[in-house]
Amino acid sequence: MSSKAISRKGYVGIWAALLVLLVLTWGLAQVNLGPFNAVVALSIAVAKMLLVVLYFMHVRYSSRLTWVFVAAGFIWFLIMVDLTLSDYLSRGAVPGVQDASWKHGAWPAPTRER
Amino acid sequence: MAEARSALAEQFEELPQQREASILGMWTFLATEVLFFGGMFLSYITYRSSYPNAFAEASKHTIVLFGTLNTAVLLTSSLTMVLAVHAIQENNVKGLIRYLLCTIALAAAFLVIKGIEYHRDLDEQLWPGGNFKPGLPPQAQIFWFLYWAMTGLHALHVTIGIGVLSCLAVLAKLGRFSGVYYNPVDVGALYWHFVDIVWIFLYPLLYLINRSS
Amino acid sequence: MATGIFITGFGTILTGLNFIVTVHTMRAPGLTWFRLPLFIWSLYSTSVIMVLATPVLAMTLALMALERIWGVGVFDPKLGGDPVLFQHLFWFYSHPAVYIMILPGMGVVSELVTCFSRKPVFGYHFVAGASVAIAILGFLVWGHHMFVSSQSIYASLLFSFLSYLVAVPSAIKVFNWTMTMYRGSISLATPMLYALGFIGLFTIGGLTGLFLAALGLDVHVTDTYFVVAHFHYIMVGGMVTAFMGGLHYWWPKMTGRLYPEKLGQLAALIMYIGFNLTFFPQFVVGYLGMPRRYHAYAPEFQIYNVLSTAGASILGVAYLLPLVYLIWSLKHGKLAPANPWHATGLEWQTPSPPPKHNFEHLPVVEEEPYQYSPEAGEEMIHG
Repeated sequence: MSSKAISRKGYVGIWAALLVLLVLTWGLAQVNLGPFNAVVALSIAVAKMLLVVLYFMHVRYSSRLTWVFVAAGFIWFLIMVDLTLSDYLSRGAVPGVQDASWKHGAWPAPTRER
Repeated sequence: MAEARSALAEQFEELPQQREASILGMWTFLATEVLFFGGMFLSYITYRSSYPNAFAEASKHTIVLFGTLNTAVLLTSSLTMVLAVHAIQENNVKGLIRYLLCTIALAAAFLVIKGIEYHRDLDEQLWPGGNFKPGLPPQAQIFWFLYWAMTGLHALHVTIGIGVLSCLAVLAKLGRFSGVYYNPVDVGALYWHFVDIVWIFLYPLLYLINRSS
Repeated sequence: MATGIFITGFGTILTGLNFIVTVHTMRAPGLTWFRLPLFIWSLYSTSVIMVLATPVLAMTLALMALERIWGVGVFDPKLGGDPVLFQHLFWFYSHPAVYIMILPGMGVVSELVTCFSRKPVFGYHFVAGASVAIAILGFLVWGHHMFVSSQSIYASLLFSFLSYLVAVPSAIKVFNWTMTMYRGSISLATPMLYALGFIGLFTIGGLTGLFLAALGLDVHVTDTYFVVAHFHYIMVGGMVTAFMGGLHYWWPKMTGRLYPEKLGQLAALIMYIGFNLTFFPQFVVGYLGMPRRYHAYAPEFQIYNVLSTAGASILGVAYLLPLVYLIWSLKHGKLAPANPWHATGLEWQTPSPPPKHNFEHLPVVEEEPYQYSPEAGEEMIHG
């Protein structure tokens, strides 16, 4: 495992890139991009994560087995999110079927029912 | 090489095998942490998809200055952490200790800023429940529940991280690490970077939903 | 209680982590992946599930606890929370959890069938691959527990389809066990009786699982005894039977004593009869509409309930018998040699019970697994 592949200067460079991305994400949030605000913010977050994972955590220079372990965690998280959203986002999508309309129901201010 | 032999635990045959096992073990643990935090991220995603406006409204009351500052603090702590690993790879124990202490200091700074922020949030009545800040849509309370739960759990992980890094600093001072053996530092660093990554996602999701109006 | 489960969950996660890392990095020299016993393939797959599913349960419990403590609606509809979100999170863990429960049993059965047929496992690679496939596919089907929860019809269709897929690797295993026995030299020792019981009962349980995967039929039998019968065929007819088989198979190795063989065979037979009498009527009565989790039932269901109770008493005898004779054998059983079953596998190359360091010298593995021969005619040593 050649984790010595990156010099001190290299690490500082990655750090600088991370700070640039931070300023970028803050800056773009001030602009109204409609639904793309979320896409942009998450994309930048993913980019930051990749820099940390690949370089600070040395995955770029690790064995394929390590890659598999790293990927597995994120992929499993995505499985959980995607299949759950397949429920929430498809409510009302099939014509003629009465799906739960909880999504549009009222969420009352909680009262302590004790 | 007597030092290398004593670093080799009984169940292993060689040091590289021990190192690979440690790193795979920590990545397995980090995968469990992804799924642990993932449950809350899933809750956030489903509620935000149901109440996008309430979430946007609620998020306006987070303090962007503190959130952004804290992100910078954690990103820097990741730098000092990886420099600590780099130092011990070059058998520089003093450098290791110095960078570990920097990381701990930055982590503590994160908690201090978070604490000040929590104080302000409570002053603003942003704790969900009967006393919640009036004037916000009712669903804003789910956002704020998730804010407290997610940042609270993250802060707990930061605190544990400070403990872990402190132990590493003590062990380093006791001369347990060298260029030949530094597995606990490697593995502690992986944990610390993970804590940073969780915050990298929390920041835009909690602070930057709709800052453009 | 939530805290207790949370803490136990850490045990599960750390065990899984331990097994995964051990199998990847600490195999004996010569022990390549495809020389591993199929029991280890099963445990590896189980460990993957334990590691990836349990944390979600932990978070679900944590959110539930916070909801109670802070009084905010996360899942509780009375407070405005979303109960279906709870179900998604809960079943994301709990469906894979049932594969955690059955995979080790399947691994045991692989060991038993090959040893007591004196024949190498048919399709070793397929059985190994099927274990991994079950672990992965098991994560894609949780919504089949939510067909009547107000989950969207589209998601229900998707989960129903995926649930059919997950049955395939289990079926592959059943075919492979059967083909292992074909033209083998079958010995009906106690462990084998349990393995045979497993194959039959697990097949029934698995097929009725397919009934439940069908969206339309599931809605009819939801919350009836049909579901209860299905999972008991898998858990008791499957896992508990496999456990008993494994217990008897490795008893000599673990304790250094032989259990009385005739009593073992008798108990296995009684278990099979008692089990079917207990749970088969539940399929019938469930299909006829008897609900689960009620304190009373309609009079037309009486005969089935009586049969089931009678079966349960017989089943009770079948479990008490081994309890008695196994404990008896600890003091009075014949001493066991290192390899009473003439089995392959590293555990049989060391004394019974193994010394603390397990092996005098680090074993080097040079053979493919399960090098049995039906013609060899070794005499097994029974108690």
